[in-house]
Amino acid sequence: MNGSNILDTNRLETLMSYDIMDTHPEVIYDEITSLAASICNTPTSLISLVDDKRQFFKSHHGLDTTGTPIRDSFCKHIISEDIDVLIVEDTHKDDRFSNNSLVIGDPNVGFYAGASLTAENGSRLGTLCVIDYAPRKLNELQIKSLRTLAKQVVHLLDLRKSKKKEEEQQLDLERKGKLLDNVVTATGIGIWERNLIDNVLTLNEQAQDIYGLENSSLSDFKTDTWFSLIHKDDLEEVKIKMAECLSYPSNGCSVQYRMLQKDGTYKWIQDKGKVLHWSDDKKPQLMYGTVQDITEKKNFTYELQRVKNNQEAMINSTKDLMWCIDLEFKLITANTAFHQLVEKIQGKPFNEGDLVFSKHVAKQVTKKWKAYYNRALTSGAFSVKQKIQDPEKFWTTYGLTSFNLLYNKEGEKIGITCFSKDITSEVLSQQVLISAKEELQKIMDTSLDIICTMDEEGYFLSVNRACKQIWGYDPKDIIGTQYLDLVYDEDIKLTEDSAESVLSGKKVVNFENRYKHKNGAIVPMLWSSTWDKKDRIYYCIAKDNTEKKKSELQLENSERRFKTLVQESSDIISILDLEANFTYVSPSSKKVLGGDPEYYMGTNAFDYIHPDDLQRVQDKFYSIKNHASISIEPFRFKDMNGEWKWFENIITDQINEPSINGLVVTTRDITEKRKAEEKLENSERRYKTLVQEGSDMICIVDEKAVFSYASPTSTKVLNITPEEFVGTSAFKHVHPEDFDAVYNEFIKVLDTPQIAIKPFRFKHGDGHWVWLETIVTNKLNEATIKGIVVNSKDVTTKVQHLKAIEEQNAQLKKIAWTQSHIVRAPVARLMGLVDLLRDDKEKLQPEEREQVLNYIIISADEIDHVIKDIVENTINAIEIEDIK
Amino acid sequence: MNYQILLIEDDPIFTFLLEKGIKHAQLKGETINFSNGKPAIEYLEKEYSDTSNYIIFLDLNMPVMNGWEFMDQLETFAKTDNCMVFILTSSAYRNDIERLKKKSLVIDFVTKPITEYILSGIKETIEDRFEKNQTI
Repeated sequence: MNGSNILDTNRLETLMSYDIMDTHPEVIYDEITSLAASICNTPTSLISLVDDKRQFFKSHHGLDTTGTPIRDSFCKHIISEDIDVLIVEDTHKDDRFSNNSLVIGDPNVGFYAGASLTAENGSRLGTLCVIDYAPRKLNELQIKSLRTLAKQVVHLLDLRKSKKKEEEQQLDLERKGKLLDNVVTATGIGIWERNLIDNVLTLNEQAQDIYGLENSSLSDFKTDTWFSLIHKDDLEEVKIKMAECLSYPSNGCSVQYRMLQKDGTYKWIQDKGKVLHWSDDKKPQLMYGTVQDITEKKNFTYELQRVKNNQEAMINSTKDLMWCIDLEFKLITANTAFHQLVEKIQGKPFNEGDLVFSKHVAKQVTKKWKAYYNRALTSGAFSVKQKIQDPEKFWTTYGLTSFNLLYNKEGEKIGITCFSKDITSEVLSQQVLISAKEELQKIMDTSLDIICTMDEEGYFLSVNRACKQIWGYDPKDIIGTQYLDLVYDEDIKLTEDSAESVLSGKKVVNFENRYKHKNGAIVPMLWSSTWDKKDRIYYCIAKDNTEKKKSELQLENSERRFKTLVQESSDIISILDLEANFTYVSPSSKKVLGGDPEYYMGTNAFDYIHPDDLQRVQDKFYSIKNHASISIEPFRFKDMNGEWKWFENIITDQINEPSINGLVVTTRDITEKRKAEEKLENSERRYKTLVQEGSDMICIVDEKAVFSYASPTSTKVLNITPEEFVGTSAFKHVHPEDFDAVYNEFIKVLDTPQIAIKPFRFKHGDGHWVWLETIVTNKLNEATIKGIVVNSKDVTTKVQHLKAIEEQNAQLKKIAWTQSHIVRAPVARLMGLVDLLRDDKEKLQPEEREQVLNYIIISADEIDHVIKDIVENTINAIEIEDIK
Repeated sequence: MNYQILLIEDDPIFTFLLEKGIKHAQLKGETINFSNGKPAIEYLEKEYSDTSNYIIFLDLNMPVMNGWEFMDQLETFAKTDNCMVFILTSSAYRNDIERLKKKSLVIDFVTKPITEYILSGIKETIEDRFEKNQTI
C-alpha cells in the first residue's frame, strides 16, 4: 500500500511537492490546531508532517517545539501501519509508546489521537493530532471532527500547493516574456497590435522607433495616418496587401514600403501582419505583426543592382565582342555588340541556348570557329589574330579574339568565354612602323656613308652595307667587334678622346680619323656621332673622306707652291720723297734689278724709266697729292744690265707717318707676264685672223644673251657687223617658233659648262632665215672673258638637206599608205566575195552567183594591175630621190 | 521608230557585199545606197528627221566627197540620239582614222570585208543603243 513505508519515495516526493517542510507558521493552520484542541478538549494539538528522518510541526498548539526526530514520533505509526486514525488512550499502557522519551520525559504525553493527512494520491503525509498529559478518551464526534479537520488540512495544503504552482507559472511566464522581449529587441524587430474595432495601434518600443513615432502621437496613429506616410510609389501595393490580409480567411501578409520620416527621408520598412481574431461574421477584429527596418538591406540591394547595371552597361557599350558558350557551343550570354553583329549577319541575334553557328556564313568560317572552340576546350586559353577582308568596303580589318575557359563555383569547366577586339588600328600602325623600318633599312642599305650603332664599350651593334665599300668588310664581319680594332693606330688616342666627349653628351660633328681597310689601305673617315642616353647607344654616321683629303692635300701643295713662288719673285718695296728720290729700297732690288739698294738710294726713280712711258708715269705720280693711294699702269724700268723690266706699281701716301715720312711704293716685276701676254696677243691675232677666214662666228654674251663681242666673221655669216651686234640681245634675232627651245637650252648653260644647241633659225641681215648650230660655253668665271662664249655655225644647207630628206620620207610614207590602201581594197573585196560564196547555203540566186564570180574576176584583175603599178611607182620614187 | 540604213560606198562590189550581209543579218530598216558623200549629205539635209533612226556605213576614200568631208557636214545637224556612223576602211592602216575617233557620232571602225559576224555585232550595238533608249 502506498505510504505504508515511511521511506517510500513516492510518499516522500509527494510530501516534497507541497513544499511545506520548515515553512513558517501560518495562521490558518494554527486556527485548525486550535480548533482541534478545543473540540477534543486537549491542551495540545499538532500538524505533524513526517519525512524520512523527522517530523515537522507546521502548527503546534500548546507545545513549544517545531518538530522531533522520527524515533519519538507517534504519528509515524499512522504511516507505517497505514491507518487513518490512531488513538492511544494511555501511552503508558501501550507497548509502542511506553518507552517513548516523550512519554517518559517531558512533556510526559499520556494521551494521543491522530488522524492521517492523506494526499489525493493516497500518500500519508503526517497527522493532525491532539495530545494530553493524562490518559483519556475521545467520543465518536470528537474523532470524526478530528478526521474532518485532518482532511481540511490536506485541502489547505493542496490549495497552498496549487497557489504556489500558479505563482511559479506566472513567474515562468514573466521570465519567458522577458526573454522574448530581449530576443525581439536584439533582432530589431518591432511588434505591433492593431485593434480593428476601435482602430487603436499598440506598438512595442522597437516598433515605435522603426515607425519613427512619438509616444504622444501614438493615439492619433490611425490607418489613414499610416497610409499618408507611405511613399506614393508603394502605397498601392500596401493597400492591396492589407485588403487581402483583412478578408477572411487569410494567411499572414508581408509587404515592403518606404515610410516618410520626420527629417523628410524615407525609411524602407518590412511589415508582416496577421489577423488574430475574427468576429463571428468573419470580420477581422485584432491584428498583430512585426515590423523591420530594411533600409540598409534595401540600399545594399540597390547598390548591388546599380553596380551590376553599370557593369552591364559597360559590357554592352563596348564595340568589342564578348560572348560565352557552353560545352556544346550553345550561347550562354553575350553583349550587345555581339548580338548586333550576329543580327547584321543573319537578320536576327542568337537566343540564349542557340548554337552559335550561323547558316549565313561560309562553311569554312563555321569550321574555323568550331576548331577554335575545340582548341580552347582541349588546350585552354589562347588568342588568335584574324584578318577580315570586307568585300563591300574594300578594306581589311584585323581582329584579336581571346578564348578562355569558363568555370563554375565548384571549379568545373562549364564553357568558353570569348572576347573579340578590333585591332585594325594597332595592326595598321604596326605595319606603318614596319614599313618605316623597312624604309629606314633601305635608306641605310643604299647609303654610301656608313651608318652604325655601337654600345658603350665601342662594340658595333649594327652597321649598314656601306662598310663593305669603304672598309672592305661585310656588316656581319664587323658587328660584335670593337671599332678601335679598325682605327688606324696613330689615331686611336684621338678617337678615344672624341668618343669620350660624345659620351659626355656632346654631339661630335666632322670628326676626322683614319680606318684600316681590309686590304690594308688607310681610309680617312669623317664622323658625326651622338650618344643616346636612353638607349645607351652611339649613333654614328661616317663618310669616306678620301676625296676631300686628296683635295686638301692638293690645296696644301698649291699653297706651298704659291709661297715658294712669292718668295722667289718677291716684290721690291721702296720709299720715295715727293720728287721721286729713293729714300729706301728693299733688298729684293738686287734680285730683280741686279743693283744693291745702296746703289739706288738718293737717286731719282724717273731716271730709270723708259722715255716712252715717262710722261705718263710722271703725270700719274704727281696725282698722289690728291689721293691716298694710286696704282700706275705697267711701264718699263731699266735694270743694271740696261734691259727694260715691266713694272707695276702701287704707291701709298705715308708722308704724314713719322716713321716713314714718304711715299711707299710696291713694285712688281711683271716682265714675264707681259711677255706671255704679248705672246697671247700674237696668238689671238693669229686666231682672229683664222676666225675671220672661217665661216664660224664667235660671240661673247652675258647671262641675258646680250652681245659684248662678236667676231668679225659675223659680217660674212649674217651680214651683221660686230658693232651692230654689241649691246643687243641674241634672242632678238631668233625665229619666234624656235625661241622657246633656244631660250630653254641657253639658260641651262648657267649651271653647266657647255651646251650644244640644235640648229635653229636666226635672222640674216638681209631678212631671210639661216640655220645656226651653236655651242655655248660658260666662261663667266674666267677672268679674261667673264661671259658666255657662243660658237655658231651656219648649217642652213645641211638643215635644208635634212628637211628635204624628211619630206621625201613623208612622201614615201604616203606612197606606202596609198599603195597599201589600193592593194587592200581588192583583196578585201575578194575575201568578202569568197566568204559570201562559202557561207551562202543556197541563199543566192543563180544570176547572183554569176555576178559574184564576175566580181571575183574583176577583183583579181585589179590586184594584178595594182601590183604592176606598185612596182612602177616604187621605181619612180627611187628615181625621184636620185634626181634630187 | 523607223530605221534607215545608208550605205555610202563608191565600190559596187563592196556595196553588193554589204547589202547581202545586211539582208542575212536581218538588220531592220530600209537600205539606201550612195556612191559618195555628196548625194548622201544632200539626201540627209533634206530628209533628216528626229522620228527616224539613221545607221550610216561610211567609206572614207571616195571621189567627189570623201568620208571626212561628209562627217564634217553631218556633224552640223545630226544628233547622236538617232544617228550612228560605222566607218568602213579597206586598210588596216589606222593613221587615217585618228581624227575621226573623237567624233561622237562615230560608233566603230570596221575593216573590210564586212563579214556576217561583224554585222551581227553591229546589229547588237544598234539594238543596245536605240531599242533600250526607247524603253527608258
